Amino acid sequence: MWIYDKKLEYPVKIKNCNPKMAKYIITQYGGPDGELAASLRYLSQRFSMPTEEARSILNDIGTEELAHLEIVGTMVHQLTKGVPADVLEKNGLGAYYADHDHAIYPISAAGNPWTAEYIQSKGDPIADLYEDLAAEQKARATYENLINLADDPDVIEPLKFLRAREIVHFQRFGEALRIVEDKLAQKKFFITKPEFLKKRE
Amino acid sequence: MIQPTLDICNMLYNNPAFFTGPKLAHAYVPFQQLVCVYPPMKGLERGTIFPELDRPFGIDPEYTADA
Ligand SMILES: [Fe+2]
Repeated sequence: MWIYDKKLEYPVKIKNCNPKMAKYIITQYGGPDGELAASLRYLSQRFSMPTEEARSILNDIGTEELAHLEIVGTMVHQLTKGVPADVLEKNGLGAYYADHDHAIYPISAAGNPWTAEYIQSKGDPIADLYEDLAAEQKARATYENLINLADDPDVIEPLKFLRAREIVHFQRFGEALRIVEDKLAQKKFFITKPEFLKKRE
Repeated sequence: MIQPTLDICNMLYNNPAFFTGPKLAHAYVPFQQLVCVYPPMKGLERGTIFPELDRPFGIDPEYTADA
């Protein structure tokens, strides 16, 4: 169950429209390393985690990624709000406008619609957590690319915030990985053979 | 060069009592220790309340290979 707070995790107040920037930023909405992929990846993987800590970390970070999805959606909305069709068209959003008008739809910067193929939920907690660590680095790298493409501080500040969160998430997944590896190692290692195994021989 | 016996190898690498370091073929992130935290408004502005995780774009060379 979730409790919804009717505000953004980080404020977005973009004064100047910029459809070209919107076309790039939407990749963090519905692209391969975007927030929709992140949230669904973590919220799906949590069920097969072997420790309470790992389940909680995936649950909390998956939830926060949904809040990031909302921030990115708001940015794209503000960057395109009221921009006429011909201006969208000149900025590479003609095809987008034809299908979605000024609505928000999960696609990558190149226009590919979101797909579950961006994520995995493997049932192997080690494999899943390594994917999550990689996902955080890819999201960080994407935010850095977007910061390099942006020139408006109203756009750069939320992007910097979102980038910073990926570093914190990486740390938490690294801690989850160690907790899970320790737990799995414990299960298999005995200093002396336990009694119940001896009897069977 | 002396070839260690298989037993010694097993003892060293498969027994946590002898080998406590990071294992081969495993990635490690050290546990964070709670030291001090930013006040809430600064945390919001920086994207984290932990000074040790506050690494803005451009500060770490490994994060700016192409920038
Ligand atoms: Fe993240």
